[in-house]
Amino acid sequence: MLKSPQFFMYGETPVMFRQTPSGGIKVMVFDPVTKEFFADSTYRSRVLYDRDNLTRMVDETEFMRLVQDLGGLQVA
Amino acid sequence: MQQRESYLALANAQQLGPFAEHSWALYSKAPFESAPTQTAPDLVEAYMQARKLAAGFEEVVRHCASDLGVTCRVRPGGIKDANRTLEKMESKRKALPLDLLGGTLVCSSVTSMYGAADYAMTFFDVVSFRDRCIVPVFPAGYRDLQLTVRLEDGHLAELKVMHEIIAALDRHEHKLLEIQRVLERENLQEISFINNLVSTTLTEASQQMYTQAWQQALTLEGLLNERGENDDA
Repeated sequence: MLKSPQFFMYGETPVMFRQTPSGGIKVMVFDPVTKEFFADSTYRSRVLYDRDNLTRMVDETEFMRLVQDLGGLQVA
Repeated sequence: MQQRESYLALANAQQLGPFAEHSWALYSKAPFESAPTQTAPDLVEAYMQARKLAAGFEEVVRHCASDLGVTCRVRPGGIKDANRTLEKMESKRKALPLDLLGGTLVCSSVTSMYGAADYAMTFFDVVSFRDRCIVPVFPAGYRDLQLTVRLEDGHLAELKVMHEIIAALDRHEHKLLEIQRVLERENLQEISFINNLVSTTLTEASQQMYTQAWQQALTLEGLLNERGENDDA
């Protein structure tokens, strides 16, 4: 089970898995138009079952830099 | 373009040393990093090209498989589902996918996989080769040889070369994936503890199955012993 957040680039899209207080997960996806994160659980299987060579796991520092490069101000 | 030494080292790390030079030669002819893009100006035109070419592509894939003495399969319905295409485009700066048309050659050994890729290089206009046995798909561990081929009008299609063990497992894994997709669609905002427990367990099962299936393929090839170890290591 997820203990700490996991950070991915799915193609050009930053995606973060974050554990909830009740032990579930929230999948947060960066929207390049609004520059904000939104919840979309369908990205879980897109990231974990990628057959299109899109998924890249990154660390938090790189993730934050990539989000900022896309115009995001903060990680959700 | 990758460096030869690091490429061969990756192959060795995956117990594919005997195929490393072969794979490198295929990659050198058509490095996947240099793959061209679809010539169609937009998605509608790309789909129209695919629809026009689908029957011919299926025929030529079957012809190639017949020459090689392997089995083949093409995408059910011939052309990639539009919803899946749009999902993919969302995350690739709206680049048109290279797999609206897709075919698979299914081989009975690792040796015949590389032989099939070799033959495909002469049979098709191959513009991209990616060895996903050397670098398996993250994180599940799915493996194939992935080629992109150029058809009429410059339309690009995907040709995969799979081991029959992985191909057989793939069908079971798809059912596990469907269970997870349903859970995700029904819980878009948050996946609860129990649903996450189910999803995580299924994902781990996929990883274990691909690992064990590939070890079996390598064992049958004599690249691993029955304990899953490389005798030469």
